[in-house]
Amino acid sequence: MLTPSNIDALQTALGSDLLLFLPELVVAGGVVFLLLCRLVKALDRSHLGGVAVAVLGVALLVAVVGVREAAGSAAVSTPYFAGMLISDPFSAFVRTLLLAAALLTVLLTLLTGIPDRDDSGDFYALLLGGTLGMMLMTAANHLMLVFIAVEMASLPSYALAGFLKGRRQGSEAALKYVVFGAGASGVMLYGISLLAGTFGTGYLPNLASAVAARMGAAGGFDPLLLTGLTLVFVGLGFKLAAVPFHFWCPDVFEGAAAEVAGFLSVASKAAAVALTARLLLTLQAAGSTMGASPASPWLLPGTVGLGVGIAGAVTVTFGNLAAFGQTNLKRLLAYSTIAHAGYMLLGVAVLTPAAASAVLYYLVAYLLMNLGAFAVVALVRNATGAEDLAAYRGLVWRSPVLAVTMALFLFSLLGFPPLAGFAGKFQVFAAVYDAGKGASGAGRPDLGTAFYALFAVGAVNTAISAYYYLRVVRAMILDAPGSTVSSPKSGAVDPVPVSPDLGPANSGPATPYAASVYLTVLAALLVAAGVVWNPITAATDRAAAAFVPAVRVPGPNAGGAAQR
Amino acid sequence: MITVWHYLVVAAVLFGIGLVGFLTRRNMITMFLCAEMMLQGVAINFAAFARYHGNLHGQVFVLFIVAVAACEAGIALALFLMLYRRAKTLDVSSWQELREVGVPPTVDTESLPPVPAEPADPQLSPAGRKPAPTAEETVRV
Amino acid sequence: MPETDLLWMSLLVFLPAGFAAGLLLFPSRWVEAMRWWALFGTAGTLSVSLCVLVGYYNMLDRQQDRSGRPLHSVHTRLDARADQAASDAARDVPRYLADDWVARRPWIDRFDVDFALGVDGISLPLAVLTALVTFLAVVASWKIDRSVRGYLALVLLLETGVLGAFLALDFFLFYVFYEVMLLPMYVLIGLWGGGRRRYAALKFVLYTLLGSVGLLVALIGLYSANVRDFVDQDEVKTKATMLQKATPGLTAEEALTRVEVHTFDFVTLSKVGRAVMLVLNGQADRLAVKPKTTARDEPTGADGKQVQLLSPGVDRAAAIDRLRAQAVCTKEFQYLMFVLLFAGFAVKVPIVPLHSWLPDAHVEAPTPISMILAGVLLKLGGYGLIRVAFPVCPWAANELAWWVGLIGVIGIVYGAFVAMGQTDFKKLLAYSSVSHMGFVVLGLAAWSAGSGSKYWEWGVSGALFQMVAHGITASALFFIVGVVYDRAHHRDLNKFGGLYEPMPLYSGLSAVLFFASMGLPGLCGFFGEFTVFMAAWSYSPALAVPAVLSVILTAGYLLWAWQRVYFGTNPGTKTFPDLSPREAAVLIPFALLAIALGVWPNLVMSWMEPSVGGWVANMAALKP
Repeated sequence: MLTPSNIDALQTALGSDLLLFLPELVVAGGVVFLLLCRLVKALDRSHLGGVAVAVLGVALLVAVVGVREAAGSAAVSTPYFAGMLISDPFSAFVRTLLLAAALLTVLLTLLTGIPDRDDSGDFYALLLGGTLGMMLMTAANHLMLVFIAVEMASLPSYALAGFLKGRRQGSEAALKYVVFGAGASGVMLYGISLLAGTFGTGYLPNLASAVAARMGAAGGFDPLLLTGLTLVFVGLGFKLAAVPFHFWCPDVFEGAAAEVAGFLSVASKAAAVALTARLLLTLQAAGSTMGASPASPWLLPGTVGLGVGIAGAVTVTFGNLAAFGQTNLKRLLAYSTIAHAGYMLLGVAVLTPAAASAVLYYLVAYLLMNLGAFAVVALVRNATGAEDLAAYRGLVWRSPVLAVTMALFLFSLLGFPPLAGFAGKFQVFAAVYDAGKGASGAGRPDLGTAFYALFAVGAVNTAISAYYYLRVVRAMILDAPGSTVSSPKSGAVDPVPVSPDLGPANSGPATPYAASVYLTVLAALLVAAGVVWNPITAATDRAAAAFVPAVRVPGPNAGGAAQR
Repeated sequence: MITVWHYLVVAAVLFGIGLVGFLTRRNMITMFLCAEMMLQGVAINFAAFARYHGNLHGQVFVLFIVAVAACEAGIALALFLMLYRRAKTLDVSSWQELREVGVPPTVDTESLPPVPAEPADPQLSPAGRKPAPTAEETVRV
Repeated sequence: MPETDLLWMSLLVFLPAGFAAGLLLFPSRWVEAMRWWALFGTAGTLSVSLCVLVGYYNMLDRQQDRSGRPLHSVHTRLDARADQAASDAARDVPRYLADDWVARRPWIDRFDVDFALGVDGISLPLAVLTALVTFLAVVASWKIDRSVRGYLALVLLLETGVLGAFLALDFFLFYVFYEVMLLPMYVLIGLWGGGRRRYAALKFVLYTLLGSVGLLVALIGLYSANVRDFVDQDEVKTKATMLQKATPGLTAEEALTRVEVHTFDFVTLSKVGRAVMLVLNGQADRLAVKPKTTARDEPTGADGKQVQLLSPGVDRAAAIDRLRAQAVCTKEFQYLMFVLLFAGFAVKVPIVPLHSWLPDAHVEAPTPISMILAGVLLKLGGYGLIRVAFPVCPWAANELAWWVGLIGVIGIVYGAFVAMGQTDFKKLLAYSSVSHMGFVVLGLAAWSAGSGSKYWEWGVSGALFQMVAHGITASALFFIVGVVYDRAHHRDLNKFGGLYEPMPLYSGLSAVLFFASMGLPGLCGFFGEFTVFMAAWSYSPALAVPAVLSVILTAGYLLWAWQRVYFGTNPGTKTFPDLSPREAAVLIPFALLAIALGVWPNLVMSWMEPSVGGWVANMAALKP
């Protein structure tokens, strides 16, 4: 309740709170500026990509400096804005990641020129707005902020999905996204109302301890509680495109522009994973500090965690199997992102800080490789006007840079060492295995077996997914350009050399120089993140340490926060 | 005595109606209204809980829900308008271009009920001219 | 002061990759220059590998064992050197020996992964073989004229992957290199191969990938073992202090009891495996602590009773309790790990039910790639069994030894029979590879202890020698097919004939290599097979007899093929020119090596055998 003393506390804290909120403020300012640009004639007629780059660059800089400071002050979790948001290394890390994803997307749009001059202001305003919502998702510390942030991230995404005006498919994608999104947000909100209503608070730490106490008392099974949690995870599952809430994903990705699909697949998913991890791990941290019964650290993983894990396993398997028969590359990549969301859910499900750290590493790798893959799709679309697999035949002869970098991105998605995708996957698997070992060792052999099973499902899926990634690689590198059916030459050892200058599908212009540089840098980063783990694991460990249930340093306005 | 449970049941019923309608209807506007109805169920929930706990958290929630729902409606209705202009129908099943390879579009044998023809709006004649007699009038005269 | 051995070994591994990167700088028209550049790179790698060999030999030569034999000292065995290097590195001021040919640098702190390279008599012959075969394969690739740059770069990258896998002492590093070489191979087969090349390439990748998923699972499983009693105790203390710093309110004693050490190090993992075998066999009382030796003397207590595995300064009883409490010390775990590792490497060897990718890959691959595939990549499977599967899970390996041997014998006989039915020259050779690699498995499986451990040592060294010999003969035979294919443009055995007349030099060299492959005494194929037979006979005559009889089959199909290709008269082949100088340059070294190794096996055995002896001594001691 807002008493005068609380208002005073809020006012005194406002300065420091705004400082913590600086990256978000910069992005919000950017949105406003881009919208106002419409009023100035000279600006309205110019392409505003540079503005977006500048805004995101500044925000990224501020956020990175913020991460440095957070690292210096030893992983402090500071709730701010009366506890609505929280600033901890975890949110700082994911925030940086999101800004980087947005920046890379904007740079990609500059290369491919997808919003033309007239629309650029709107496009970038929507993009920045979505990024802002996602940043709030990572920092949300109150169920109300969870809802608002999810909506803030979703609404611009709906518009972005249908941004290509002339295309029927884009409109259809937006329609599907909006309709499913509206339904999912309703369901999620109902879950939030049950949780917040039952416990009389939406403030996550308070809610978490209340939930933990209730679960401990009810032996892990409380229908109302589980219903509420399940409904909330339905909403998040929709954002993540987890099975069975994935229906929108392939259609939206196919209908939307590749740049937008790349942004949605990376940033939106990263934010959703971060939010899921935050909810679950906050609950878990509260649960294990209670220490009511010896099995209490495994109570939550054994119920909610296991449910999330099974959803993750199903998601991985479904995504990989469904990707088998796809011929449209965006659709194939959409199913691949579904599968990757599943891998990340597997990591989130075991509810250990080590697993959270692994998932963060996975997010870093995923950002680079998935955005790279969609970038190649966009560039090939620009050159050939097609997005199906046939357009990629013999790509290596037409533009080697595109083909080789795309192969690297795909192999990284598949999880080949020494690429970053392998690093992420390996860490997630190792964390799941470790959790299984820990559960078995702590008197929960059933749970241990379940986690081992999740691990096995993940490992087997890695092998399954090879098939469809290799199909793309095969089309790009092994198939002759333009040939619809590979003609078998009987018994020839050295095939007839295919001249790179011939072939009907050769009409597209060469890859622009800047695009080659962009892709090469992404691929180089991918290799670097796969070989040099130490700096990244240090950062992810620090970020995940926010959930170690040791000591939570109260923030300057913890009193106000507790009131909320 | 009306307890919090009664409110919750009403809210659940409202939410359920919304959900079922959302899943079964084919008219875009109706679907969206059903989604809004789900939100209204949630709003009742929050209001009831706020009353139950004796604080204002729930009410604040409701205010935000209303605001967010308005934003959502803004985007969705704008989109629907665009889609209607293009397809001249609000039937969602006319948008099936994006689907799995080899899966035929879902064709509902039972088409939407025909929209009853609206009576023509009464027209006023321009000012300063004697209104032309309508058919009915001439008959009466 | 950098370690010279680290430099040499890193150079050996990464030199080809460096040359591959250099290839990208060439203008596309300088095709001939690219070929020379790649040749120069592989030649450089070969010379570096020989330098490493000389360094290793010097290191061996400096020490003698107790009975005064040179090269056989216990201290020069890989595990002794690795232990020494680990404890040197764990000191307060780390010390790195420059001449022990074991180098270790931290790579990934989170998982205690080291960039650990090392050579011993098991890995070095194969590494040299790799460098040699790749060099000759580049010579043989002169005729490839379709996107030469990509081709050569991939071959060089492949060489880096293979050499890295042979030299890695860290399971994680090994896995990385093992996977790295998969992709170049996929593209090499898929792009430069024959008619069904895409199918063959996909099959190759899917089979290998399934195997490596098994390896990945085993990798993560083995990492979960707590190895704190098997590593240098200074390292444990360092970790304990770090743990104490990380968790407030923990006393030093608590930290010391709670600390866990995990590793991917082959040597340490093997120690755990051996200790587990003792415990599972109910012989935990034989498990002993290694005394702290200051002088470089022979370890005491080697009376056949004590097996010194625990590190100096470890409380023996507590260590055994700790080991017993772990999941790694259960039969299910050991079986599972062994089966996963065995299956993972069996795909590569290939062992019979998992072999079907090999004929396809060989038939479709271009000649130089077939040479590398048969000469080098298959050896990686056998090497994996020797370096990983057997030492890390000795208990399960011992339990399943007979079945492993049986699988090997099935491979030998099946491969020979199927080879007999082939009309495609390359397919025949592919199946003969399956057959020959079966000997490797059989030699490894002939696990007999006590008085029989001498026989097992023969078996293992026979298996290794067989790998080297097969690397030489199989590469050469695939090149021989390539030569005749270039002239006849088909590989149908029934359409050849009469090649002896127009191509005498070619036929002469082929004869040497055919007979070497057949296992004729005096040529390199004989020694390995013979020692494997000896070991198998002493282990189980039921396994040895079919294997010995298969020699008849081998002779049968090879002689038959020889007869069909070279004898008789055939007007169609009359005009074939004899070997060009380039082709002769490839074949002559192979033929010379085949003769040299056959006449004087000690050329390799002298420095291979001490390592094998140490390997067998470690394992055989586990069986009472």
